[in-house]
Amino acid sequence: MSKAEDLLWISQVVVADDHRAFERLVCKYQSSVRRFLLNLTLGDSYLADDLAQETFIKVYLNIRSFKGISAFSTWLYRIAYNVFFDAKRGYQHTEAIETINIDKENSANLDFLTEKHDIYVALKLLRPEERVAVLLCYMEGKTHKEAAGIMNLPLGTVKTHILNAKSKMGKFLEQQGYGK
Amino acid sequence: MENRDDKMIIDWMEKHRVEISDNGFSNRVIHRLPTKKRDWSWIVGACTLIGVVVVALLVDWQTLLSDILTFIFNTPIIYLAGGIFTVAVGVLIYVLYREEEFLFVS
Repeated sequence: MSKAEDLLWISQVVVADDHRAFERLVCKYQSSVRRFLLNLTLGDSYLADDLAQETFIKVYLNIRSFKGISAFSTWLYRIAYNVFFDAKRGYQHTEAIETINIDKENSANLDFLTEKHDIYVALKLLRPEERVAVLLCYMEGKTHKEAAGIMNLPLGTVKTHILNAKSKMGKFLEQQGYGK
Repeated sequence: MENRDDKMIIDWMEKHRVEISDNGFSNRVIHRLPTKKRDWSWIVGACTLIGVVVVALLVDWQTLLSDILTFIFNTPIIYLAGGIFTVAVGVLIYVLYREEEFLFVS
């Protein structure tokens, strides 16, 4: 699980187009990338998996441009972030990714507000940038600086997004009875 | 208050942090990988290297150096300045192009 291991596999892919080495990279990072996209799409697992596949294909095609300055996972999240926002822009009605899954499930299941889905309801309260920032820092364990690099935003802006997100989520969690 | 909120959110996010099992995902990705065109760009580097070695072995360095210096001193300054400017602009364009390519990808 080290950076050296990542670099070894990356060099095998670059030099020898080694699919086995690339598969190891996919295996190692699939869970975090899929979870990140699943949360961004508010629980739409089919869409999240499609976007995750597209992310890894983009990684494969552009792996030569990975300079190794940042961690591979940071570069990977940046591509996933771009893939998500490209897909979001691709939808004519921007609400598609935001609401389709929650509304569908909400109408089908009156017990929707269970703990399992609370997270998507909470994330839906946030603006997309706030959602990305809070997911990267609180769910994926990235530092504020790394999140700023992934989102290509100034550090101060990311901190503002996180503050806003925390305030909205704090209110939501208190309403749901957490922290009492 | 803020620390309490922080802790509450961190704990809550941690609780919702799931590990997603592979279930054939990696395999599907590998099967969807496009075939890459064979990259022959290394030939340029190899030929350059061979050329440099051949030149280094065959050339009479003293004559070459004096020829180059004679050429430089006999060339009007306007041509030299023009040449240097053209090279600098070329390098700048190349650097900007690479930068844009990098930004687009990552």
